[in-house]
Amino acid sequence: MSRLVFLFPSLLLLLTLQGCSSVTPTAPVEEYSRGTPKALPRVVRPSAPSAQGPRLKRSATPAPEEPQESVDPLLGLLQKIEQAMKSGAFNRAEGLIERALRIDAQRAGLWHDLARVRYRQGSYQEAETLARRSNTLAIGRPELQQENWTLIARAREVLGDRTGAAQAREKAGLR
Amino acid sequence: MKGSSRKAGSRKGTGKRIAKKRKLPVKPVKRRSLLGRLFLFLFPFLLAYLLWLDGMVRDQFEGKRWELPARVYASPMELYAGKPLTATQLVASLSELSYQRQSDLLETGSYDLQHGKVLLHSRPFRFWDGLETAQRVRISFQGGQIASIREVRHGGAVDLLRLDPLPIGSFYPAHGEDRLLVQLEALPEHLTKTLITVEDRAFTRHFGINPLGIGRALLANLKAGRMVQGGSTLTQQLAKNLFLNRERTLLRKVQEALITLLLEFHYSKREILEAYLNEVYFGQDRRRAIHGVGVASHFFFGHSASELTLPESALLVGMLKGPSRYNPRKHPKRAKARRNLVLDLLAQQGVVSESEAEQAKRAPLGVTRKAPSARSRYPAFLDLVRKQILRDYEKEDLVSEGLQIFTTLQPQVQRSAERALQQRIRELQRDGKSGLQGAVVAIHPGSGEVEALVGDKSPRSRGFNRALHAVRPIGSLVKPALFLAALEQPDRYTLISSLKDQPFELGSGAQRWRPENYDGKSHGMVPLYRALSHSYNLSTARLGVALGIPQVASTLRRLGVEREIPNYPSLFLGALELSPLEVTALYQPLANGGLQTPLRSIRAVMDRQGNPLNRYPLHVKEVASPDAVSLLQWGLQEVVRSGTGRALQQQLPSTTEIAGKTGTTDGWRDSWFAGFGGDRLAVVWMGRDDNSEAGVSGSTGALRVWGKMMAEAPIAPLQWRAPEGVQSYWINEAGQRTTTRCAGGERVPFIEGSAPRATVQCR
Repeated sequence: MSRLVFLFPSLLLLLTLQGCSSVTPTAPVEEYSRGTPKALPRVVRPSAPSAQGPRLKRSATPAPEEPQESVDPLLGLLQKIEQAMKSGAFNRAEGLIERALRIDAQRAGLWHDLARVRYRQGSYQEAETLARRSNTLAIGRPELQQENWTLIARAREVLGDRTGAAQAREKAGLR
Repeated sequence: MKGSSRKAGSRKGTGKRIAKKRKLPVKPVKRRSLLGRLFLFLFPFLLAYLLWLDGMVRDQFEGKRWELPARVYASPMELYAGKPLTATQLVASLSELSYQRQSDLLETGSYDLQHGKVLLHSRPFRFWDGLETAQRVRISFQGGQIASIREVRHGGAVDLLRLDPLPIGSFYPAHGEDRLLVQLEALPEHLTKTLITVEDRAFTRHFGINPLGIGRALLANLKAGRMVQGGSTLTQQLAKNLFLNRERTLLRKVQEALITLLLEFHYSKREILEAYLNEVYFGQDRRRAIHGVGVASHFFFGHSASELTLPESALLVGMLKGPSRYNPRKHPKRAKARRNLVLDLLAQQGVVSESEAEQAKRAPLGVTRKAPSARSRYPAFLDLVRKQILRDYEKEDLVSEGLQIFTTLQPQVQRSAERALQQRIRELQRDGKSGLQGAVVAIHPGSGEVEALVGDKSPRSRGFNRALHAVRPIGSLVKPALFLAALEQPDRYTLISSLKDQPFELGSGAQRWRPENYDGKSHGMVPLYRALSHSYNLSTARLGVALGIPQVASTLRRLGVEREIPNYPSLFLGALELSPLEVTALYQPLANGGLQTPLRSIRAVMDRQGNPLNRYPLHVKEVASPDAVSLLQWGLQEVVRSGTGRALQQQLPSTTEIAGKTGTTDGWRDSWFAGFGGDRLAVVWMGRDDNSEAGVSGSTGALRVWGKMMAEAPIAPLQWRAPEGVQSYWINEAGQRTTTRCAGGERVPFIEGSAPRATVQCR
């Protein structure tokens, strides 16, 4: 504050010197440009500074010819999903599962994970629906089917459907 | 503005408190001059004014500062081994994203094509679920798909790489200021150095105002007898641009000086520089004002400000003297001369070496031939985005908060939908069928994500969006709902139930209803699935009568129809009126095993700082028996195998199993096709806006568009599988169950317990 007060008197002096400073371009009072473009507006990535990728010091040298091997595209995502589920970050898990489903919607395990997320979020009916979707894809995977039926049994129990829960437990082989 | 707003923050509020507590420091003066008295009298008022100004400056600088348009992005491209994609397709997508071909891959946003492999230095991007870092990879292809992705440097396999998303449009504020905030750290150093060298060399040393500079300018102007030089510092320019109008009164000058000092007092040089670079005006694009280096870089060079080269930076800084006068598109020679002058100055001041400046001077202007339009290439899809986002956000926020909206649009699918519709309409026009219009909607059936939406045969048209608003009778597209209602009663109906395909009539007088087949014939007794696959009206209408209007209407409601459903029997043959988007919603559960998921065009929204605001998650609800839906899907595959949709086989590979339904309305007014494979459901409508005869059937109009679209943007086969409660049996031509395959026989699925028990031998 005190500095503000000191600033003040010096202003008058400066102002007298200010009379002829030029005007720099301010907001628009210009004719509209005549371009009739087709392309779309390009956008800067508002990324954080750390987002800047490593800059190469030397130019890219080709790596040795790689052997063809198949990598599961979901490898990294599945790990992230598991971490998120373990730490109870279900909203994050949900987003990651959806991204994985966009890459492979036929993967039964992803639907099972989404069912678990919904169960944790208290959407029991939807949890059952998703677990059943998982089962239609879990052909030849009895252990996943069993997990799905177990989840269905628990969801039905919470919803008060005892008979349904018993049937699901039976399917899960838990009797 | 991270760093120094903290500094400013620590002082925040203290000023006012001190002012209240302390007495004003007035020294006792024995003899006061008149001027002195006046000053003393005015001092409290001036102080109050200063405090007010201080609050305003801080509020605006630290607060929202600018109204920012919302940015809308398409679905990002995911790259992984096994993805169906050719090198050519990838390169096309990269150039759409403004990646530059560069053999050294030094910069992010560059790629190269070497021996059929794509080398790529991806751009970093902050998504709602985290940061995607820049990577340098080599992508090889084999058999129409990605064979492998490896890091360039270490050769390690990369499992998944997400490219930065394609910007597809913006929602602008009313005053039309376009701006993309950039952070100083993200900008190349030569840009800031050039700016300081040209506009305000003492920037780092002065306190906002540079008396020396002013003196020098004054002298130069006096010598020349006119204004040749300005003494404004960058801070003064910012004060002017940010807070003041263009008036040149004394009061404004006072304000400007005060604001300048306040800015310097509160904020670091870096913050002031960053604000300047984001505020400064670069010209006008129709009603859009180009502000800040972020938008200017895209507007002039087609890439982001972080990718600016030295000559490009020199050009931008040079333009500040007169954005219109030095507009490089309108006055390339003048702009180049100005740029080179700036480069000379840089060399003279030792900012760059002589050789660097010479090299930069030889570079072309680098300005893209056409300014990128502020008008989106995807207006129809943006209509849908706007409609969906306005459910959760106020209109004002949409155009001012700088929201980042991540949508579900798949540019490749969109392009093929646009092309397919345009081409078919052109062909039909050559055959004398004029005035046709059309619409296409494509979604992912499992997630309900809208991949493409076309609302006009000219996709850039901003007019009537037929995909959303053309509400038309859906004709035979209604039939699957009716057959589903039947198949959900396995004790009454199976796919082979015998239906009578013979004329009948209901009611009398004006109420009389007498359906007819399209071919004018009747077909005797037909199995249920053939009534569907051949779209027989007589047998379908009879089935509808047997089920009853309420049953069919309630099935339609369950499947998601919200409009009024006609309460008369012509409902069975498609008197129901829906828009193409609504038809897509109706078919979504049919393509997704009976599970309904709301159609979505938005995945997530972030604020301007990159914090996630909302996500629009996937929700599912079972609305139809999965067993009955699987039977229906089998029947809809028959449509394409042997029924009214078999023309599709000529357009798609024989291995592609597709389920679909054609629709043609009375008087050939509307041509429809709805079809789906494993990963896409698309609905096509074609007709005339005035609802007159279009002269095309479902299979000659809409179906052909559908087929062409899927041939270009490959669709996965349906891969129909019987669910647990469904078994398939051999059925002969007479509709009897056989133990083995007989000539003309087929394997037909049945819901458990509904198949014929008795078996016969082949004849």
